[in-house]
Amino acid sequence: MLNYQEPAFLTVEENEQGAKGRLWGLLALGTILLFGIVCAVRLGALAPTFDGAVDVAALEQNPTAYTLDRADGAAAVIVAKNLAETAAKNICFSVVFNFRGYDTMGESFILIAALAGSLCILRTPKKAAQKKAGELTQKAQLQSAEAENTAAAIRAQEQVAAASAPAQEHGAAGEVSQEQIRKEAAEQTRRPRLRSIVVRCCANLFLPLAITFGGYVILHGDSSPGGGFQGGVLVASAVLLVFLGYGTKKLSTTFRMGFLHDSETVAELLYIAIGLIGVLVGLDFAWNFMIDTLSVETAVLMNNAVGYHVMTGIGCLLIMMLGMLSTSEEE
Amino acid sequence: MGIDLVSVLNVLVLIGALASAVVAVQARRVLESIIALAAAGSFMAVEFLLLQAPDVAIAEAAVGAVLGTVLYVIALRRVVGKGENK
Amino acid sequence: MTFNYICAFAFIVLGLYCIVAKHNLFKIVIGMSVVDYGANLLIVSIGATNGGTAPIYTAGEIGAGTVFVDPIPQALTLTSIVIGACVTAMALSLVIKLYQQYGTLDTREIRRLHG
Repeated sequence: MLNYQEPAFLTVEENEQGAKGRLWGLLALGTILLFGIVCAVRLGALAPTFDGAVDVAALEQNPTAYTLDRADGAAAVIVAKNLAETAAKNICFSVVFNFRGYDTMGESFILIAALAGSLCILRTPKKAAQKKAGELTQKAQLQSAEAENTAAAIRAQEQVAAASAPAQEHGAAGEVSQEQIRKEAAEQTRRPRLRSIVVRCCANLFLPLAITFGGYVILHGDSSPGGGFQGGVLVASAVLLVFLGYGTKKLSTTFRMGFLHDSETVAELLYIAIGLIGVLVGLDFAWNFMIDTLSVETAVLMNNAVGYHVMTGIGCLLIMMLGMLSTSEEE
Repeated sequence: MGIDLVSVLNVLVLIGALASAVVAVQARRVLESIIALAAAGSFMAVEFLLLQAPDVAIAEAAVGAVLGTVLYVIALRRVVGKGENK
Repeated sequence: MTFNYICAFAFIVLGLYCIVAKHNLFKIVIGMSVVDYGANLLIVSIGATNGGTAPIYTAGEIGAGTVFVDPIPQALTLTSIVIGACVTAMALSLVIKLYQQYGTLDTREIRRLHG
């Protein structure tokens, strides 16, 4: 894509009508910007939302030594309660999956909705049916051509057997060589086009690295920066690497889009089921049950479910959009 | 408001992100805008690191610089085709 | 921190200008992404004003006077980033479909064609 020319309709035109409308529009945007700057200055003069009055070092030694009397907001309560109520060392992680588990459930619903919407928008039923019909007629033509080739080969052998040496040998050799050329041409169209070797080697090198590192980021979300979403996107880049190195044919044989789509739904249901365990016992949604010695808690299970969800969802989205590329190239 | 390294870096990174965003908005070719948007996303990831938010930095780097750019380029190629080879 | 807030509002206004004043469908979607950058910067900057450190109990680095940054805006920003990516994906699907239907990426042409 380095030396590609964009068609003319993609470049921006400078001269357009409605200069008065543009002036009013710029005036309105300028007013918004001015208002924003005044608000920014006044925001800078406000007190911070969390004044840091929680003694973190003492909490690390003794997790239950906190008082909530002088807490000035939700942040102070969460930072104070974190080590006592969860087994996670990453407070952002426990806010996302334990204290505000409902919001994360809504966010995974948004991911599902985006995937379903893109699937509905990008589906072309008529063209898919026409393409299949075209493929069937092409297959029939190839088969008939092969039948003709074999029939011609049998005829050539019969001629060679039945006739005298020089002229017919010359004729048969010519036919055989033509047949060989036809066979090689058919093979070449059937053999997949390989990508450039440098890209393929880099994809081979980075694929296990991406999957392993993404899995590490998902599983270690509670004690180091990371979590479900970040690791899920990193693992989904495996789909991209396979496409870059091997093309769309290999991509469609390596990943099955139906399986990924079903996996995404299963992961979402798993998240909701783990969150509902607390409700069934009589406590809140996403209540944290801890097995403290193993650092296993409900929030970690929900984190793994969300990691699986994002991994399969974004993989499915990439396959769908890359699959559109193959149909456009063959047209 | 002391003049220490972190605040200087903060100002520099934000100015870089704003410049990339301005290039993305007013570039004449769509491919230039997409690359400038990816650069702005990378600057924002560094800025989130400076603001002591490492989770957000990883998420912004993964989504803004990698996933978003890939989606834009796939859509552009779907619309325009392979360019001169077609 | 005032500089961060001013930059966030500048991003939002820049993105708004791109959505309103540009006629290329791709530029409109890029404007939406720029608005997302500004909003995320604003939220995270509001939480980082007390000059603390990242809210993770890393082993052996917590001293006597350690202060944590507010963790709630970071969690909200994570959700916002994922939502921005999903909106971008759906908007690009719409752009592809519009090009298939009308054959052009210029909104002025599409407005004139009326389906």
